[in-house]
Amino acid sequence: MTTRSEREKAQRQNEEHQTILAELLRQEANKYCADCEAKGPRWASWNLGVFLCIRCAGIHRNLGVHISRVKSVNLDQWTQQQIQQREKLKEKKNEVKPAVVEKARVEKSPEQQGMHKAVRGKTPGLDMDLLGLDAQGWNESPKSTPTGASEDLDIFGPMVSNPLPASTPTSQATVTTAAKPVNQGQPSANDLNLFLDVSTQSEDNSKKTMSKDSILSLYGNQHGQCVPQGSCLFASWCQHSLHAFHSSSNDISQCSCECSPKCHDRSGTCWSSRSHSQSSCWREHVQWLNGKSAWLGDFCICSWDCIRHTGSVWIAGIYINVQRSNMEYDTGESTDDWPECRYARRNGSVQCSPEYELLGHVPSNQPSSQHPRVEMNATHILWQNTFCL
Amino acid sequence: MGLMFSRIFKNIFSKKPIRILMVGLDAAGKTTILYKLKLGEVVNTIPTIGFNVENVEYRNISFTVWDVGGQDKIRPLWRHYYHNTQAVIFVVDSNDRDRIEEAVEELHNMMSEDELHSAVILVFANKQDLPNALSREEMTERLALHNFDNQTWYIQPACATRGEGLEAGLDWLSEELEKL
Repeated sequence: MTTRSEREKAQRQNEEHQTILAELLRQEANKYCADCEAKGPRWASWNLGVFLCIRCAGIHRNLGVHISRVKSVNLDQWTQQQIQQREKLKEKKNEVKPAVVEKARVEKSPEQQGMHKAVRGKTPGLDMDLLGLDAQGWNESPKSTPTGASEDLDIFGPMVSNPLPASTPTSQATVTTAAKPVNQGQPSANDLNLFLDVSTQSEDNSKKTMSKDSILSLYGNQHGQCVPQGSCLFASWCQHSLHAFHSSSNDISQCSCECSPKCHDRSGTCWSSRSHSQSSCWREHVQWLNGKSAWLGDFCICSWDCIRHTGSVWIAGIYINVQRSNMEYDTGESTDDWPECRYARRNGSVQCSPEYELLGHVPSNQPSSQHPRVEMNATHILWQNTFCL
Repeated sequence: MGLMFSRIFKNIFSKKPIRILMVGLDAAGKTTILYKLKLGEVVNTIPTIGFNVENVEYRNISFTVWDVGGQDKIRPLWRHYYHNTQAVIFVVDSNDRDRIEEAVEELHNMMSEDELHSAVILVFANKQDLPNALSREEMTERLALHNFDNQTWYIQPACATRGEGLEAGLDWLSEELEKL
């Protein structure tokens, strides 16, 4: 058993390491994946001394640890020895491409390209890479990015956790089969305690369009106050910035972490200390899927499934929205990458999801400050609450 | 009424799926194994944040395999999957000698949990194709598997990308689970 002081020491050290890594990541040359040049790498090969995006991280892992040793910037504890490679990281500045570069170049799958086309086709003039696969797309965004947004941590970068099948047909299969237990209360999943409360009705309910009021009622807060719910994730992704959540900031990297006092009192990070609340988390997640209940906001694990399905734990609304937009995609362009999440992140949480413009839910010419008033714009209501804009 | 009958009917005639938890350190090959079993293909995986779950039909048994991310900070989440788990597949990267100790610690911590006391353990010593892979015997020793005297365990060398050893592992698993 470790003592409290040991734990605290380890945590302090971990925070230090996180700070160092965050500093490294702020350097211009480290802002892009060493292999594919995707923006905002959140993974690293610590023996090669390069930062990588999650996809290239996957490729590096496949090479074996005798070639590349991959670690997540956020999800792994870094040891002193690994951190000492920072000099290496600093000097190489991701400019030196390892021999694996060519192999590591990630090609877009045909359906993703199809998705791009569809997106572009529907929104003339909005020529951007909504999937965030192509770093330049973001630079071309016609909407101005709030100052400092490029400095923002890539919160969603590492969260897309679906394998990328080698061939297109299996891609669909993988995505859909993996999505079943959560979205549809698949029979086999009904027996599992994680989804104890998923009734057979959940399928209908989860697809049911939710009104603004019903979404707001989930959160019990309609006044833009700080609602810590769901932002727990930030505590882990931005460990170095344990700022008070109610600092009125719209900068994701600044506004985070205090969401779960219960988590904090143990370790200061949500990830490592939420055993106390797991059961209610799962249940509530499910209830919440059914649209009947709200998060209580005191824990973190709630929508672990959401990570799987939307790349987002913290914003219930995104999940709901994605359910809806997935239905759109299901007509032939299914994707397991969630542009709205990424977009929101890239824009420092202010802008509306392009999906909504795309699908006509939100007028595209409306100033972002008015978005929360727009009916169905659950994402923004929640963003507002979450970030105290 | 009809619902009740259908439930009873279902309970009598349907086989309860076997719930399997697949864990291991990050980059051990869990997701690759999962999709190799499910699709028969090697997928280009990316690190799992969260979990993947698939039903794998094998020898008339329906396995529900939960593949849970293995990064340091998400390992505490494994415990949320222990309940009702009949079998644990622990995947080890045989090539990663430096982190064997870490794997041992995780394995033993996990198996000391009450909820898993009746679970059978299948260890896949994965990545046997890589140059420095530990053999089955070395791995058994390093993982101190003999310490699990109250639990049923089995170690199977495997290479997920080639599909070698996976079926042998599942064969053992289905035999053990049929005994339950």
